Amino acid sequence: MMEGGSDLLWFLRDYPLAAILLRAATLACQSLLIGGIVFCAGILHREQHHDVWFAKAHRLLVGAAWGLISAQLVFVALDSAMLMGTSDLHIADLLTANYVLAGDLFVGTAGIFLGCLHRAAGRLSLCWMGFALPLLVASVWTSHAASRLEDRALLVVLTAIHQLATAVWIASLPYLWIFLAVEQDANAKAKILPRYSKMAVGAVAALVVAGVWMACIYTGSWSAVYGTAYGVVLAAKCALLLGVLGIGASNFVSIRALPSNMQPLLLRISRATEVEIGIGFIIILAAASLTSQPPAVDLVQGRLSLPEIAARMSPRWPRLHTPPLSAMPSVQPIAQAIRDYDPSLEVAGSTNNAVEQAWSEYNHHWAGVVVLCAGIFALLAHSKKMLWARNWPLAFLGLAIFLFFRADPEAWPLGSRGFWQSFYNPEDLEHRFFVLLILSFVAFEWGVQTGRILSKKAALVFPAVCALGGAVLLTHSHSLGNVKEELLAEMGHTAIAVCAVFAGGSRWLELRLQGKSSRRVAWAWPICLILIGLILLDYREA
Amino acid sequence: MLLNNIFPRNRVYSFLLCASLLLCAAPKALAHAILVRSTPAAHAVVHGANVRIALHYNSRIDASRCSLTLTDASGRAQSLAMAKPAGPAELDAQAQGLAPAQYVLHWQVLATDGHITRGEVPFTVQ
Repeated sequence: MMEGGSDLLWFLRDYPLAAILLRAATLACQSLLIGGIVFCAGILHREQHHDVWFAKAHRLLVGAAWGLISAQLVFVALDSAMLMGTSDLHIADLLTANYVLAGDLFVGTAGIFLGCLHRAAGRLSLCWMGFALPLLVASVWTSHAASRLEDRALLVVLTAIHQLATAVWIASLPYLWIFLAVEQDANAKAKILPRYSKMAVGAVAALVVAGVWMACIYTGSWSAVYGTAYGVVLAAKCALLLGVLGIGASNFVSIRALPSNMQPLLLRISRATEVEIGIGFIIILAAASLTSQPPAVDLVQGRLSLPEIAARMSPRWPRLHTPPLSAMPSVQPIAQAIRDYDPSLEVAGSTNNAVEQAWSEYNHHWAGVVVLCAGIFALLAHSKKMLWARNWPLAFLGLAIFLFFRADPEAWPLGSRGFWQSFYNPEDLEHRFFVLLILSFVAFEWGVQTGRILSKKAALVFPAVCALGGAVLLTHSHSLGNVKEELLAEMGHTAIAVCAVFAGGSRWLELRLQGKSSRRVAWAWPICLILIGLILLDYREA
Repeated sequence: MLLNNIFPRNRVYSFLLCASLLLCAAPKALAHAILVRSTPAAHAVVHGANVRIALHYNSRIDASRCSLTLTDASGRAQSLAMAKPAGPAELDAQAQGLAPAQYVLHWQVLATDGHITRGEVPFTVQ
């Protein structure tokens, strides 16, 4: 067994997060491959002259195949390094492990797919669906379903249906979007859209039935839905799914109305599809996050009860006074922390003491004040009499500076750990990433709101960053050394993540849609910001 | 040279790995396979120098790629050899020659879905 103290092992302590991201990349890429084949062979196969479309779709398929290969190689290397670093196992002992065999199947299938795609002359036939089978086998093999003790066969089938339906519905959307963008003939678009729509309705039905069935088995009761981390992420996934279904339903209605008023409807469908794709892939990230949690039905102890949740969520006056920095506990120098680190002995995070809790609550509450103000001003900015309110993005500048100084008191500029050293701690890294995200959208959105920036692409930075921030937050957790405390903190952050994704989606739609549709969604994102502010103001750690 | 002093190469590699893979968040506290019950139970008091260890999980595990480590109060660690498990979600071992003291059993399991999880079971030998 390796002793503690190496940089590699220190890095591997963040294995669970890396596993989520790699699982998300695997799910997204396998879905893009299957979705591409389905769209190409099942929707477009009867059409001629789609060379421009195929060239672009080809690039996406190649990217997805290489993405799948990379994600699996990194995952297998990471898992193997983790096992070899914390036990007496050698590389030869791992060659027949399930995750290695599944990785081989993923990489082999994607490699053969790339070879065949290279020879494909402009179109894919239904035979290409043969690639979907090994991809689904490898994916289900490394899912919750395959490792269950009860209902294993049923769960394997349901998981396969759920993943296939996701690929057919969500992951074929990018190919549809490319088609709508490159095809000049409106009649050709009007012919393809109903075909896609029929297929998507079938896929949504299969996805929902399989998903609800699995959710019933994996949760087992309502108390598991609100009382466990699995249930909280599942609820977030359902909320996001409802959002995508809403957009899908609106597109469904538009497609039925296509013969009349064709050009505006085609534009509307194409632009709404952009948001459907974005939220769809964030749902895939949430699905990957679920796979890292033990199913709720297995977590009998440590569940939150409704009174516990109500007690924590009941509004209290925000904490607007900070404890002094000198009262914060001292931290180990990073070099010593790395030297002393022994992964085989590490289990849970440490509990925050009262001063740390007060520090964190103060940070969250001031952030809440800023976001609440920004949301209210963004709402007021709709009135032509209150043009000054269009400066609302500047409120976030204050938040970025506040976060930069306060989020990580142990690190530079307030703490003893230097600037570069702070990058060793993923939580510090995350906060600095958020500061950069905030600064980027402040710069763009303030310019857009006040008319200093006229570029339409620049206007999309704010909604994109908002949705990205929400997606990132879905993988966030608080290491508070207590399952219930962590879950209570996670509940608020998951709700913020969902609001952020919806804020980004609705702002994107406001910018991309026209007329009444644009004005209708323009109210949604300021309300999402206000909700985020209120949730932050209600954040507590005790 | 100066750059190497400020950013030693292995530190830079580590930083790049962190930056590329961990751009976003802190680790999830929980992962997949969890301990459902154990012998000895957490904080149990057992008698005798030889202690039978049996750990039951909520999901199928790859027992041949799991590890058990026992540490005593002074922090001295010993790896335990695994016995043939009685079921697909079980780890079995025998700790022998234990002196009366407090111990912590550290387990690491590889679930069949590829997720690695860790935990510990503290117990006392009298």
